[in-house]
Formats: sequence, structure tokens, C-alpha cells
Amino acid sequence: MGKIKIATDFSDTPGARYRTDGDFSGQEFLEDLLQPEFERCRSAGEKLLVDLDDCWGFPSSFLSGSFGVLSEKYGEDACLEILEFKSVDDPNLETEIHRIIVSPEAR
Amino acid sequence: MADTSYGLPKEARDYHVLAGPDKFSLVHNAEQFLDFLNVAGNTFRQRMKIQFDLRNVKNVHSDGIATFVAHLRDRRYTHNQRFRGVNPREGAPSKVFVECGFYDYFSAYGIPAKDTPSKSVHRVTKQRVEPSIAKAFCENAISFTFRKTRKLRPLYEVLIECMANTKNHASLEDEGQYNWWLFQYCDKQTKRTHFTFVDLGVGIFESLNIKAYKRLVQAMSGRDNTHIMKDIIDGKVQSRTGKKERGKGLPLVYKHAQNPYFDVFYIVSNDVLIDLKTRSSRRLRSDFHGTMLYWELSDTQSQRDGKQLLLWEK
Repeated sequence: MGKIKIATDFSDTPGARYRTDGDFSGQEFLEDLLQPEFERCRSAGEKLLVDLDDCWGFPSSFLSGSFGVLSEKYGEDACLEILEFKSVDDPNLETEIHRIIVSPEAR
Repeated sequence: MADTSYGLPKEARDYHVLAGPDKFSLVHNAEQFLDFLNVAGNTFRQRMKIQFDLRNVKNVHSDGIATFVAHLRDRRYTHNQRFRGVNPREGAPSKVFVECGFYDYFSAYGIPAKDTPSKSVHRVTKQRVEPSIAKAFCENAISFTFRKTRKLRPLYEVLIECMANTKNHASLEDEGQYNWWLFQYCDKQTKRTHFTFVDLGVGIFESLNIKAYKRLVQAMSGRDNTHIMKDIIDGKVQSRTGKKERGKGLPLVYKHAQNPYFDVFYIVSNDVLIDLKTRSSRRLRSDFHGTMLYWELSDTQSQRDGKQLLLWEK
């Protein structure tokens, strides 16, 4: 199983949507970390655990700029099949991301 | 020899004297405060210098100071004219000016040092969102108000959304730069942390995506900006424009504003002032050219409700 802990592998301060918005954007997370690891896990037939704990927060634009775009590229079925989440700090966060993956209007 | 025909040296008469409003606050005294800002703006536009006389200011709120500083440091507002000021009389109003960091931005003499961890930042940047600043302000506020080092997701996310929503597309130095201010005032007496975020851009209702929505809605129903503001915070604008990346920030701010740790939460932009806690809004007589968000972080609500609300902890 692959694993990404956002707070340590990326940043504990996720930013906005695009790289041009500033540091630690959803686009930066998607392109530099999430998508490469997602593709590796998909090829290997593995799950990818995304650990959301220990971050200061997750702006909506960050979530839709990363998980929303990933879902647009690979489809919600592939995302839901491969991705697993850990969010002890805020259990609602997993629901929010799930909604972003499955619901185009929420992205 | 100085010309003293007005009881002042000649040099002093070069300044137009403008008295500050009794209550120095955009949120709590919007009409008078906007009149004050607009008179000053018109005076600067006529290439006249101003002496701000703040001696009779009786109540000072941190949002007023933040908004005042943001204007005085904006050359589109001052037209490079000189200005100076007479401080509020000793006492509470004077102290708030010190603690809010007003004198960090202007030369002043004999001003006492701050005795709270209040802080402020001004950014003219190509990257409008600066997560490290949001984190630093969160840490400062949470340790001051809650006396703990924990995380509060709504606070961090509101700060990021404020920065992301900056609509200043015509900055002083360069096209494509974003110019915003963030003030944090730590009130020792109440243990509240007051936040003011200001950008002097076009304002919410003059931004391109909202203007398109406004034209549509006003053509159909003739509704004014106070109603459109409610559509914006309810997320209706995004669905009408069809642009998925548009219109998500303010609904999130509205959602987080309901958090019990935020005791008050206001937005002022263009001709609208809205209280996000109650959804009550009103149309202002004068325009505020930009957007200001003001909120207070407090633990009184949770104490009043007898709840121990969850803060993240490791």
C-alpha cells in the first residue's frame, strides 16, 4: 500500500488552487505528489492511503484543485477504489473529499 | 518669522484639518467612517495635504485602524500627498492605536511599546495566498485566546480564503500583484483576538464574475447588492456562472463564520455591510472601495454554552 502523509510529505499548511496562487497549492500537491503516487499504486494494483492529520486546514480550493482534478482525470470509480483516507483530527474531512470526488458540482 | 494669523505657523496652514469620527470603526459606524475616508480621499485628490485630528475620537475599533492604515499607505488614495495626525487623547482609544500596530507604519515620537502579541502584515505580492502567514497568525491568536497551542481549522481556512479572494487587480507597483493587509489585535481585557483583512481592490460587487451575475439577477428581479450578497454566501453565484472554481470562497467563509469560536463576523464591500452570524445586511449610503472582513476569535461562546468544543490536538 502506498502512503502520503500530507503534513510531512508535502506541507502542514495547504494553500489555494493553482501554483500561481502561492505556495503549497492543490495543483502543486496533485502534480508533484498525489498523481505520481496514484499512478504508481494503480499500476501496482495497490491502495493509496492519504493521511490528512496534523495540517492546519484544507481550503476548499486546495481540495478541489487536487482531489477534484484527480477525479476528473481518472474518474470517480478509480479514485474511490484506490484512495483511502485517515483523518482522526477531523472525521468530516473524509466526507468532504468524498463529495468532491463523486460530485462534479462540488469540485 | 512664522505667519501666525491663524494661530498656527504658515507651514501648518498648508494642511487641511480633518477630524476623525467619534467612533473609529467601519463595522460599527460605517456611514460616518466612510464619510471620513471619502472626504480625505477627495482632499488628497485635490492635491492637498491633510492633518488628521483624532483627539476627539472616543471609541476605537481595530477594524477602523486597519482600514485607515490600508488607505493611507495606498498611493492611489493619497496621490502622494503628505499627511500627518494628532493622536487620540490618552486612554483606551490611544492604547488601541498602539496595540493595533498603527505606529508601525508611520513615523511617530514618544509612542509606548506594545504590550500584547498583536501583529499585522501588509503584502504586495504576486502570490496572493501565503500559507505561512496564515499559520503564524493562527498560532499567535490561538495561544493568546485559548492559551493553548492547537489547531483550529476554520480559522486557518478563513485566512486562506481571504487571501484567495483578494480582488485587487490594479496594484500600485505592477499589474498582476495583490495588495492586502491583515491585522490581528489581541485584546488583553477580553482575551479576544480581533482579525481584520482588507484589500482595496474593486470590491466584491465590481469583480468580473459577480458583475455578470448581478446583471442577470437585476435584469430579472431588480434586487440590490444586499440580496446578491446572500446569494454569494449561499453559493448560488457559482451555480449560475457555471465556473466550478468560482464562488466557493465566500460560502466557506460564511459556513465557518457560524463556528462558536467566532463571536462576531462582518464583511463590508462596496455598498453592503453584512453580519455573517445573523445574515442581516444593509445597504450603505457611501461605497467602500474594496473588501474588509472583520471577526473576533473568542472562547466565551463555548463557555456560555457549557461546551468544550473540539480543537485539534496532537
